[in-house]
Amino acid sequence: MIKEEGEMLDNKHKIKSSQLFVFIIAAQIGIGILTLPSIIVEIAGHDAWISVILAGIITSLALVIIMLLLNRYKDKSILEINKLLYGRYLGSIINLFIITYTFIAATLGTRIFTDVIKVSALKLTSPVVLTFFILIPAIYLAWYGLKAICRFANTLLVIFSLVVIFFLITHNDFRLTFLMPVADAGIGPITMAIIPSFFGFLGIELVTIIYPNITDKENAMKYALAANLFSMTFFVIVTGYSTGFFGEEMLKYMEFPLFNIARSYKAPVFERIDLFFVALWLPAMGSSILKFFFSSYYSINILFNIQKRGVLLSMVYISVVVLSRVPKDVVQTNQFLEVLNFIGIGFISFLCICYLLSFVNKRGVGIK
Amino acid sequence: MYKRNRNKTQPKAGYKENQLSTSLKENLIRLEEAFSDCPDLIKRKIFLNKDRQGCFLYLNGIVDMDLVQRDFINPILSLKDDDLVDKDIIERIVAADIDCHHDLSSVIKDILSGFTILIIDGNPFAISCKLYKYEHRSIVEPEIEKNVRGPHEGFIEINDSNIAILRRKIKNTKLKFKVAKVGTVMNQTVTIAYIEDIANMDLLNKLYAKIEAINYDGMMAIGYIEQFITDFKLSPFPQYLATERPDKAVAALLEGRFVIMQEGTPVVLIAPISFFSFFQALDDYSTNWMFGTFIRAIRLLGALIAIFLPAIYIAITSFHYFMVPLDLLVPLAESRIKVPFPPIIEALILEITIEMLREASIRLPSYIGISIGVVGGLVIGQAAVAAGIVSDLFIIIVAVTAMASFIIPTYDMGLAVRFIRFIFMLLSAVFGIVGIVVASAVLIAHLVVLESLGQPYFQPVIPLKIRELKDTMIRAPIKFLRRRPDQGIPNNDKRGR
Repeated sequence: MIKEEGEMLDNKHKIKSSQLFVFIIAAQIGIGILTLPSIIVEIAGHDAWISVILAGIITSLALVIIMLLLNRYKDKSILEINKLLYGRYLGSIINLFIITYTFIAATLGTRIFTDVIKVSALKLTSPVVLTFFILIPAIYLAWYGLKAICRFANTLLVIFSLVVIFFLITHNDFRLTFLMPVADAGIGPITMAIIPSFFGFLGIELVTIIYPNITDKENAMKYALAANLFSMTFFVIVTGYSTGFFGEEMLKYMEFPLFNIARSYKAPVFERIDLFFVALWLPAMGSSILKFFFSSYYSINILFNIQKRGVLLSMVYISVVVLSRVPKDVVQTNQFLEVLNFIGIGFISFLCICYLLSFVNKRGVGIK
Repeated sequence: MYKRNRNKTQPKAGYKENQLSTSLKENLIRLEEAFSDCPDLIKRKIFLNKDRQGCFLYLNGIVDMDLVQRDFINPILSLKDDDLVDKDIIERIVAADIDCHHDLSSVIKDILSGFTILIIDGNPFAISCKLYKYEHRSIVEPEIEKNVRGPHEGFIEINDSNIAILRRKIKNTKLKFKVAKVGTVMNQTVTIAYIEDIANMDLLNKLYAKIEAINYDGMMAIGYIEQFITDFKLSPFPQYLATERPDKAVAALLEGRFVIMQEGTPVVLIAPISFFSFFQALDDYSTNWMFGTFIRAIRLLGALIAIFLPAIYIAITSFHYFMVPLDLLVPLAESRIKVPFPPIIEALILEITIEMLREASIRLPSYIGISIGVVGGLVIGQAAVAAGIVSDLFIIIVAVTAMASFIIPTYDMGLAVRFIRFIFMLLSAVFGIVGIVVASAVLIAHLVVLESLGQPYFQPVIPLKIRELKDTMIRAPIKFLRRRPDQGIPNNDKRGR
């Protein structure tokens, strides 16, 4: 009986490469996609979608390098690789940075999650109570492990398809002329807009933390790339559609363009269909936060070898809720997010550097 | 031979613990010790020829007296003295099943099982005759699981009859039964039925080990076993499918699942099982696939309505009234204005009344049940609205919800849905539509995490098995259902040759 439970504990993190696919898209799509169209459009005008494609291509290249790095070390996560590459002390410090990054990403994501709900549905509810409440599904899944998280993420595919179907319903208001002429903004703004676009692709770096749990590692690269391309396509559709729907001038002033599209649709029987749309999008947001939350919780668990998982999980839970109240307002949250974006880009670049360094310091390479 | 035998054993004054002695007196004393204060134990002493004493022992009421008299007692009495010590001759007696026991515990067990025991002075063994007859009810269609076009029979409380029912339906030596004992006091038999070549042996061993590990004095109903062997004890969802229908059990066996039967209850458990199995009934398969699909879709829709509808009403009336179309908003506001309570109180009053009605109608005799229906219908139908306790619209919602929860074909799943509905209602009263979304996310997360006998519960939707979707929310034509579902990890998933 005890042995069985032990096996269950080990198995509950084991996933297949196809589940890695949903893990990555669930991490990427959710939070960033809400605000990004307006932010990118501000820089690149109606060519925002080109910047998104470029950012997608660059992240795909980075992803290839990251997967190559992980492949070189076989069964190890970035936390172990760091210790091998940089020695015990420096490696541990870098690991702490990684944990902090995932933790802050989860915290800021939670903040935006709460803000979206406050703006669209519950204006008067106490934000702390609300934050505690909306994280419950995430905590539940984090407790049951990676396999449950990835299985749950499957439902997001339904949500994403519903969004696309919704776009098709409202296609009468879409004007292709809003997107013309192509590449009008010029090379400068388009390249400048790549940097904020990266925010939508953050999430691929989490592969480095969960990599040892993948059972069929030979397919991992294929599925990870497919996931990144899927996110890119979805991202391009949303950016392009909202540009064509509102026009760049109007889009610039919107906080959550995705919800604005829903608001502008007049359904036959129901009033205010947008609330349903927001409700539909909530699991996607929560799932995106969950990926960072879980990575943070899981790395702490592994790094410090904590036995009392329940205590750890509740502590991470409470600190995420409390710290998510730190930003004073939406403006400050967005500033923090900008910084987070740079840290994320820095993390991904750091992983690429690790790959190069692994040819210099070959300790632990290829050993199972 | 008799004398020699007696001389040989006489010097041994004592006897081995648990072994029968050759002295009838000693054996009887030990049996009386075991059966003290058991007035239903009948001891019939007899004198065989040559003054040898013997004693028949049996429990009153569970022995087939006529047959025992004809096929056991009479032949024994007609045997010669020397033949009585010879096991081979005794076993030639015409009765269906005759056995000889040397140990006391088997004798006690046989008496308790309704067998007739004969102990003869001088013999170191007891003769046991398996002619028992329990009083039992006849095989009728289960009250709570009716169907239209299938067989109208149900399991009964006697395990042997249940096994016979299965055997009669599956005429194949591959139908196997594995027996386990549960109940430290009640000594009950639990039988796991499976079809060799189809069922997965690893799962069988796992299930058997779980049942063997139960340490409890007695199982009044199979629900006891279910609760002991359930992996997720905190889940409202049933993880084993309970049924009284043999056809359901046979269908499960053919899909490589296991049927757990317990002595003393007509309900059997089927495992492993998926969420969608609880929405299936034999009638889906016995009629045209179009109707099967239609009915099944209605059932799933019913479950969704039963869970969500009252919660959505509460969320909309308390928080998001602007979501209601204007044409509906005015009548809604008119009917709500008379009600002094907030929507959640209004909803709880009516929903709890409905639950009480339902519970009352289950336990009461049917002739009182009718009057309950009248009283309940009047109270809920008109008086509540007239008194201004609830609004008109909510009456309709409660009625639809109640009907929707009635169409779920399994009682356990119906209970789960009713229970979950209240959680949804409470959360939607506090957090509005966000409460509903979070509750549904937890619900889906829970369904995804849940396992039945180690197999994913929400299969084949998550993890997705496209091939098997044709028998979940829809029911494809029978010619497409050529493969067994993956739930039981069958060894051979092809139906037919």
